[in-house]
Amino acid sequence: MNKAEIQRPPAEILYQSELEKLANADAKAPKPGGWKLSPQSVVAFVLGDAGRGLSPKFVGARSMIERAVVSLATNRGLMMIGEPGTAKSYLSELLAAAISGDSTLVVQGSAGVTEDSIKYSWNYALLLAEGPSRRSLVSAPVHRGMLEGKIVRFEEITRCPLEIQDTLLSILSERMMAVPELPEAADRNVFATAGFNIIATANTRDRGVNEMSAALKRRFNFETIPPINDLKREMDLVRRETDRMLQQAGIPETIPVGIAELLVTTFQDLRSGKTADGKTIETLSTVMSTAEAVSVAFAAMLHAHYYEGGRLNPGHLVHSLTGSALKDSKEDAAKLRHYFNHAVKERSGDLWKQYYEARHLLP
Amino acid sequence: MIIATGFDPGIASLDADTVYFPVRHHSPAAARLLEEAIVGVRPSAVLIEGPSDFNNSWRELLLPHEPPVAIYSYVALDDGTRSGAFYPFCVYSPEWHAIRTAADRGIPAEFIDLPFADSMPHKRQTHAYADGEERNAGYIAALVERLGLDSFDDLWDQFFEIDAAVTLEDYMLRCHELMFHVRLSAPVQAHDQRREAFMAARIAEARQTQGSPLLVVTGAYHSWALYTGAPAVEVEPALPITERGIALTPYSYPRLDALRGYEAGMPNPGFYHRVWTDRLTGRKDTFQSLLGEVATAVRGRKQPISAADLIAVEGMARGLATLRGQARPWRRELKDGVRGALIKDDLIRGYHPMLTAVDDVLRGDERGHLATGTRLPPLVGDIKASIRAHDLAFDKTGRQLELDLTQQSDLPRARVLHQLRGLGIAGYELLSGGRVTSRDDVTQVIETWHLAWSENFDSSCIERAVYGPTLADASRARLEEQAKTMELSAGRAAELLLEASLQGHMVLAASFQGDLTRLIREDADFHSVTNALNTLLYLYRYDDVLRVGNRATCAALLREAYQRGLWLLEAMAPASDCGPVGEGIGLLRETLERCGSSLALDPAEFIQIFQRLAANAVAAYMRGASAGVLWSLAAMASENITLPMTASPEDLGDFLHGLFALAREAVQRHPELVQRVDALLGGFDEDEFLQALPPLRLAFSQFTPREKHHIVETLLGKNATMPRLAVSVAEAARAHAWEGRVYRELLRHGVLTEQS
Repeated sequence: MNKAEIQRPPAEILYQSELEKLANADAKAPKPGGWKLSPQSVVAFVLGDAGRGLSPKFVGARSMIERAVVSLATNRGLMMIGEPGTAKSYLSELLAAAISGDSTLVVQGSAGVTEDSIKYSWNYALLLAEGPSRRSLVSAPVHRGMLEGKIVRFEEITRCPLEIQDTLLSILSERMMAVPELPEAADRNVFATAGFNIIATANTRDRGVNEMSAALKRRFNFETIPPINDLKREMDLVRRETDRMLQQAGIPETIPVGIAELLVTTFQDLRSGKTADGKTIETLSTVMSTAEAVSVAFAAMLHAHYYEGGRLNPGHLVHSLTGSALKDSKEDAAKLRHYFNHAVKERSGDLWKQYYEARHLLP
Repeated sequence: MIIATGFDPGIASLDADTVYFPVRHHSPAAARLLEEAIVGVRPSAVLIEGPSDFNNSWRELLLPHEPPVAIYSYVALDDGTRSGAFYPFCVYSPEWHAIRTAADRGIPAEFIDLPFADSMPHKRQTHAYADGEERNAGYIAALVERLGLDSFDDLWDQFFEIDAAVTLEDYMLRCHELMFHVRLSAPVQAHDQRREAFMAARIAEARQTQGSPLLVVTGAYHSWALYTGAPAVEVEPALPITERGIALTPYSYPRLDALRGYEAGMPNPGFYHRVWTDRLTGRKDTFQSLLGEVATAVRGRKQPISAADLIAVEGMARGLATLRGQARPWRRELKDGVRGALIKDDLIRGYHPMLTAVDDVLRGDERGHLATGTRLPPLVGDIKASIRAHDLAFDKTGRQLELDLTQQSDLPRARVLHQLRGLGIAGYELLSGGRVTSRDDVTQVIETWHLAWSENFDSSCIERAVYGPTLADASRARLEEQAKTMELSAGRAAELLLEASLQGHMVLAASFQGDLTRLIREDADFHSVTNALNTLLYLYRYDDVLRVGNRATCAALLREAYQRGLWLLEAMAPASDCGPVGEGIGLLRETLERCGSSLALDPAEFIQIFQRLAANAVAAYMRGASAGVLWSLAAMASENITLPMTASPEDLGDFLHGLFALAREAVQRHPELVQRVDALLGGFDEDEFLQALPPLRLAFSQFTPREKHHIVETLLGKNATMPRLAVSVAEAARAHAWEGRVYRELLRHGVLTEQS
């Protein structure tokens, strides 16, 4: 398929030229077994390097990326944890693309995940006709990753039942998978090729990592991915993404800077449990991620565009905030009211005043 | 960023008449290479950046001290303010080695820096060997970002410390060039210019008297100015100094590591100490032994870690070192290794006991000792002088001292006593007063002290000398240390503020006030916030007596704590401990009553909150306490108090416990409530009454015997006496229980019915 036709090209296609450039430069550099790039180049690819024509892709501390890359070169897997919407999956995609040149070996964790979708299953027609054979075996991502020596991404691992999570135990420690059904003795053990490893992600809101078995925890190095806590950086991201969505929806408008600031400040306050002037407030049980801020902004813009002739005011923000961010929690509504009465009230500036005036729209 | 041009590599020459050796204070690499430079250059004299007014006591430096020790220079100005600077030396400090090596080889050496008293005595406390200029330089910030590092400390490690094979020539050139750019990227401060002019003059002088070559050892930041010729600067008019002194004192790594911001020097002294001794003895396992110490510290915190975990940490650290192009894992890799391989929790809050353990190991715990034959640390003399001056001497038998803080003459004495106590000097004990809890009598503020000889007096004075040269400095430094090292709650911080005020450290008190505002806003613990409120209330009311002179700030803090306390009460409705919650609510009410008008607090808001609590709170105690508050403020009539008639009789006791705690006095004035309680109790059957009894006892235990008597009179009429029993109470209770059993048996067999 042509690159332009893919709705969302994976990182290795999107940044193909960057990866090729780095691979050429790394031709002679020492690399961990099975890696396409050297660890230094992986870090440079993720964080970007203007001097070498590498675009910045992920906003985060260099030492964190360095730790993540080194973890993947050791015999432990990498577990990325953090609030929803902190771009954990995106980071894992970038790492897999840079290390293995392939970010598509993905297991999406859910309550319905079975061993079949992690290890392997069978082509039943062939199975009935020929019996178990390498031909009738259907590889799932982990099996393929082990054979091809690639990084496998396991998204939202904590959403899987515990016993399914634990199927990774022997894979991570022995680096081997048994396929007892195959007739040839030599085929019954699949040994991982150099370069295989697992990046798992887990968010701290759902079931968290506390229930994960200690044995499995031991086989992963953990890395906490923090939310973006820099107002300007997050505002830039929210504005860029909102405007992109507006453009896709065919609405010829952009979100005003003042409104974006209002929104991102509110999100950062409620996310950190601390206002810019140091007051502690209670954090909402709802996720206040950057992605959520974008959807609030987008909803507010749509509302203003269709019903108010495009004149967006802070009231629309309050409206969308209660609709898309608060979901259905009474407690959160009380906390948000408290936030308005104690923090928003004392802020100066016309927009903040209007924002405060609009508090009657809160549930 | 502008990259300055015009660097002259000649500054790094080792063959010149004057060799400028650049150091970063407390750098082991600089210390090692400086020794090499002294041996190689064979200078006629070594000139060191250090207080030149200590040159007369040079001999003392050469005694066999155990570092860390520091030279303290202190002054008292005629406006009563005191200030001091310290020049700390660790076992791996370049200056320390310059002094020693020069002495060993018979080379004359001296300090050439402007005495602290003449350079910046208006600055309260100074770490004379800090890296402020480097830390704040835009050039360094840009370089750190370009190299993907975290701070100037990492940059220095990368350039100079990690590679043990950096040669003297490389070091000289690299360090001079780096600091040349730092120097030209920001304006030089006036006091630095004055110091450089002074040092240049001393170097010129030495050239006359000592000949060449000279070896000049200064902070790398100053080298360029000394090399190119420091411009003469106007001398500031000398401040009127009434007292000045300079002396050696013991020092400690925890103090060195606690310095932050502009005052900070090289961090992690424990780590560099280890690097220094290991390299000296040829040990190669620095990283492993540090990791072993971290493991011990972590296990001490009851966190299990296995040998496999440690292998993973080491693997991670070595991998990171390779990735970062380092020859070996360093401080940052130790921390990153632990973080990556050991910690299995989310670190969104940024705090983790394992990381604290790493910090402790990197900080080290060495405390210095002065050799015998050194003059006693100045603190000892100062303490004795203060005791004499304020007539606070003690004898073997001990004596009691009462001080009235409202008296002009007693306040300074009380402050000295509080300083002694705060510093932990043996022999001074506060018996009563000065405490927040005992403030019923508002006209007098009396403190009672016990002064008695203790065999630990002298040793405690010497031991505490690490904190400073004078009693005032040392007690202040100790308070500061406490503030920095303890995990602070609002309540604890308020106590520190009070302590600072009692000790008379007003500047410190002001800085604690800033911290306290933040802590009150952050604190989520109702008790802690109301404890702070309690302390603040005391401070606010006795501001005049204690002469804190900060009533306005105190009022702002008080308002903050009051608002926060109300919010926490409503938001979390703390249900756990009855007693402390009642006290907290009482304090909130007291604040409103006593300071409501002066602080512009809104009584209506207060009443609304308690109305909501009285109606909606889950815990009976909370409802009772809220009703009590409203009743005592006459915001609720006694007939509107709804006694709980729930299925669980103990609720009544809890409710009354809360009510009485907050409306003790109103109960006496309104007998009808007691009568209603009596009527309600009369309706209880025996089991219900027994269930209700324990909390009821607790509720009534709050009254004094006199008040209880009054309640009994209300119920039984004047001159009423309790029925006198012929047998003991225990006997009667046994008989009563037996009767009950008989009654139930009769019921069971249908001999009696419930009605009869």
